Amino acid sequence: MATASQKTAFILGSANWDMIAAQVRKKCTDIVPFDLDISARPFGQYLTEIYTPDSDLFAAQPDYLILAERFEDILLPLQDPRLIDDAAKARFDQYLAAIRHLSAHSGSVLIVHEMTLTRPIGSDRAAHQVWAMLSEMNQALRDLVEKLPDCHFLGLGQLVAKIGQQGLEPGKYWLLGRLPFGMGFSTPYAGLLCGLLLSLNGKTARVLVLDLDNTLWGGVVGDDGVTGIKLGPDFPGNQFVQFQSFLRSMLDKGVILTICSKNFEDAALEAIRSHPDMVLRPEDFVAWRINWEPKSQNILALSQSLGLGLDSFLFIDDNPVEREDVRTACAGVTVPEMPLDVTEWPGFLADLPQLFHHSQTDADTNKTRQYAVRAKVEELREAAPDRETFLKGLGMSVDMQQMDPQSRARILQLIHKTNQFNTTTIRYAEHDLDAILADGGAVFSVRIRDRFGSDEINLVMVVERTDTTATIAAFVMSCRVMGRGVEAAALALVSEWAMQNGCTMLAGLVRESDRNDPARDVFTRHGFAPTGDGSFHYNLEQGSIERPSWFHYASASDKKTKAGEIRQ
Amino acid sequence: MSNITTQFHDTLREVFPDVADTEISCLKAGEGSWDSLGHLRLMMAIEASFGISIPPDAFDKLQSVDQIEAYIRSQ
Repeated sequence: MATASQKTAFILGSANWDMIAAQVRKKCTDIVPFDLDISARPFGQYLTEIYTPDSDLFAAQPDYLILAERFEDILLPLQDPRLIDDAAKARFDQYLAAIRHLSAHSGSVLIVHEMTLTRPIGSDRAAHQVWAMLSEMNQALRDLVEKLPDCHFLGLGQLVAKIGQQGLEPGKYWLLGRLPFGMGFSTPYAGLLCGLLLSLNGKTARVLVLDLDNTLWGGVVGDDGVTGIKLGPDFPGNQFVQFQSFLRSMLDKGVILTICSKNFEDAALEAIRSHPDMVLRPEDFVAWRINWEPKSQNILALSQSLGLGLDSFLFIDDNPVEREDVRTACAGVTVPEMPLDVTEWPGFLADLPQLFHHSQTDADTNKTRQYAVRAKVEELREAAPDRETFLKGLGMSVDMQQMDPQSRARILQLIHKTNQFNTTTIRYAEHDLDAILADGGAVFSVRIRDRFGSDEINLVMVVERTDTTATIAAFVMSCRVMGRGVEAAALALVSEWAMQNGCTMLAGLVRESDRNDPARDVFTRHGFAPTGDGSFHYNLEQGSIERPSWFHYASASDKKTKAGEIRQ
Repeated sequence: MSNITTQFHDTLREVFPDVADTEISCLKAGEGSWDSLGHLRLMMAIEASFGISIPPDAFDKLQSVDQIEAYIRSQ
């Protein structure tokens, strides 16, 4: 049986995926402490397995199933792709049906990869028709994936374009051992799959920490002056413009940017503000530490002020000595060995599994603004005489609602990405939540607004229900709102809900993980009594939990949901 | 050790990470993770590392570390 933190995955396909499974497993362990037991099912047998309810595949209850058919795999062995026939189309429909079947019966998260054609077929009219058909089939796969819960599409188009046909084609290795791709494609493919799995497990980097001199521009601004640094339309300045544009695109994907530089702050900020060829401007950075302290110390400070763990950080610096300092003193921070040639940086970083970016929710795109808000909140905290005055000054309101179609994506994101304030670290899949609702339980989202314009769901509670006991099986809060007493408000509201629904006992569960320190005492801090087995009890016969005074509680005008029935 | 030997041993370690350094030079096909798939992985990795193409006919004759190193040198 797998340990709590270990994830299991199977690759299903008609080719021999053993080698790629081994590569993915190795990459995941090398990159971050991510214990992934991934293996390939015997090739060509998955269709039999998935329609046999007691097969090994179902018995193993894997966390992930990766469906990895290539275009060739729906043809007969060695059939010329240009002679695609109705039988091949029928096999593709069978593949779609298999995905639907697994979605309905496996309980695993599905990953469906884009189909590729690995054999060269020329470029005449017949070949064109094959490409058109491949593109149609991929569209059908994409459409299906979008409709199914807990199902993700792994696009390969960009990788195919980059590596090209020669690396993609397995050649003799297909004939000898049914290997799906050539060596040139297998390794980056494994990297991509690893990136998606890291991303689904909340283990990709969220914060880039950037050096300035010889990283964002060429030269040293302190010596060369704002006009003397290398940054502009011609070489060598244009390689830094290119790199900044790449960083800009990361920003658009929801990664946040920070600066850590040994410099005079005024001179450095002046360059960022006023140099005509800067792509990034001060407002693109959430925070910066521009001083002469060791970078490792500055990164620890950034981690604190942003409220994000070190393993969310990725440090980019041209200087190997700085990289070594951070690597040694800040365990958890990803510190890639940057290529010497700056022109290679965008491509190099784009291939890092830690920077893989999967689907985006609305919350992601606003991330930079939200972290900037957090920095402002920190300022207010320093100015306030005591905690309650500070919290009142934030002008916060909370609004607890049952999960609805609009909040689903955000709720799942919090459940899957939150590591610190997470009482049990159970990564519920969408259908698990539906099952809890069907059993009379509840999934609550709590939206927090404040006077700095933040307005987002930052807390989730999964509540299971048995007779007169409501059990908080998962209590997850974004670290962005930690220290504001939001958890106290949420517990008060859920205790009111439980009483209104006839419960006499409110229970909470805590399952320790190596990172959920901040969440472990949440129940004892609010009057729950420990029972010794990781369970905490609050007797509702003594009344509901008191609401903290520093929140405004959203009115109960929304009659559509149960949570809306809670009265002021 | 010559450059070719060093490079070849690096490739072996990459393909068979579970093999101890001291045992790498006497490794033979059929032992441990050097099974038939391991053999394909090794051939692929050598082709990539040395920029050579090994015809499938030669695969069966390359059954030990010594035989493979001699083959690489002959290319």
